[in-house]
Amino acid sequence: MYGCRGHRAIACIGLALAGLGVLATLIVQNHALTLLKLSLILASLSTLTLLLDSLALLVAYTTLLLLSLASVKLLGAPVLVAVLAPLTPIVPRALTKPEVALSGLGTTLASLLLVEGALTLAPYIVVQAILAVLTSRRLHSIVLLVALATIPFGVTPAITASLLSTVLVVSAGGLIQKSGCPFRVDSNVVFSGSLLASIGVVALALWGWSSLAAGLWILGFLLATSGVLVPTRAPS
Amino acid sequence: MTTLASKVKAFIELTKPRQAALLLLTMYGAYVASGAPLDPIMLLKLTVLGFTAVGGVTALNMYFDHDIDSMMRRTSKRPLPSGRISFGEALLGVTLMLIIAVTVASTINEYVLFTVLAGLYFNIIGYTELTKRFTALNIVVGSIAGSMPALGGWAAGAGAITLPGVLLALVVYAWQPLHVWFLAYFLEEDYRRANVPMASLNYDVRVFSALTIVHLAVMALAVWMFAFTTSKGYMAALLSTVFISLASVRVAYFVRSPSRAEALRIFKFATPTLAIVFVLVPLEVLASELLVLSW
Repeated sequence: MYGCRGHRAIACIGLALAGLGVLATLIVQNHALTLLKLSLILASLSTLTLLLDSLALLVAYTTLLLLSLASVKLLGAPVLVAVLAPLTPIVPRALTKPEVALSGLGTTLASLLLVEGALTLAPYIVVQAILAVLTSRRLHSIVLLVALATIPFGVTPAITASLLSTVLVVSAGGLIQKSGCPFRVDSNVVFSGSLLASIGVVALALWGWSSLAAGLWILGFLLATSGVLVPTRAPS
Repeated sequence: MTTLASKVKAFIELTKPRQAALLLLTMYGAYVASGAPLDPIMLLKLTVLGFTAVGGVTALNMYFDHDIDSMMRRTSKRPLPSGRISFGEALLGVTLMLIIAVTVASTINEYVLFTVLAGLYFNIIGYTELTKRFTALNIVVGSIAGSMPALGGWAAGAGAITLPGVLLALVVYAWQPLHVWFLAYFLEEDYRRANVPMASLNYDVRVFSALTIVHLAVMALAVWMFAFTTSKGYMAALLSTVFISLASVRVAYFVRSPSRAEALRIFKFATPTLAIVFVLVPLEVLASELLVLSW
């Protein structure tokens, strides 16, 4: 990516891959939940990468995250270890930017979601909701309202996880714009995408699984993703 | 009223109906090749789906590429750079078209829905946003989007994504460098002005010609593999091999004396090279079914 440091470029591609993961759930339905979780982790890690903007910190965080997850899964270490340990290297950065701590925590919880199941979803929702508000523009509020509105209707972890990845992509859009990558945000496209995704999620929550509702959600997600990766220039 | 009519006309232009028609041919062709009955309702659904999905994605592509289009002589008069339609109107039209496409696809099956959304993903995010302006091999990603209508047509007929459908999609995928790279060579000045990298402009003529011939070989292989796996389409395989060989000879000749005029001739030869597969394969399938019925 021209004019863009490697890890930023990878973060942008990570966001795009999260979209691909969500898309794949349509035809790989046996593993849909796993794919959604992986997409969620990818989207949240990409957001953290953009927030940290430091390869060294990112490597330290990721290494500790993997070690902590392994210790929880294989050695039966307390979950709190996995939640707190990876945050250590990013503490200095988090002192000036609270969203870094929240994003790191969110990524950890999303990873725990994969290895430990749905129990960690609740704190994850809280963390990501706060992150979305902190990096917010008006769109986040809409998506979050939808998230809250659907919970009483018995939203499954998968749908909530999907919804949150939309929030993350929208959040990442603002960050990409600030980071100097050759991308800009087209808020009209992001808005159209978020609106469609929200309609799809509400439909899924109210009437259960249907191709149309899932299709609208994925269409919205892809539109929102495309809205934060609008190329600004050709390389010179 | 005139304003509304002119806006609608501008939006239709934004969807590039002629390009959509060629991709629609691959969709119909793959549908019939799957052996599905010629159900008029299904054919109507495919027609609406094809025009809304391909047209919607194409229009969104132009929405994001309006800055490039305004720099190229060939595209500067398109509806968005020329101001005949506003960005808001274009986006509204795109969103409506894509909603229709998703709605229609979801009434067929989830595999068709997948191909619609995958087409959007690979065309817009994979090609327009992440590769088009950054690598001369952008079309390697972009071609995946172009092969989705064929895969969708097969999925609509067969009810699933199976090997023969993937092979037909591979035919379209492997054909696209012949179509795009030689057009870009012909329009070299435009592409250089807009600073869009293309294999035919950034690589040595021998390299991109060799890459084109490799793609053509893959195309021929895919057509024959389709014939072997389905026991149908041998005539199409034979004739398309003749066309592919002729195209390869032209490309080889181009390496010896490259010129814009020859690039244009090769570009014009590309469409029949693809069309022959998607016309003959379904015709053979229909003929064999008629033969079975008459017995």
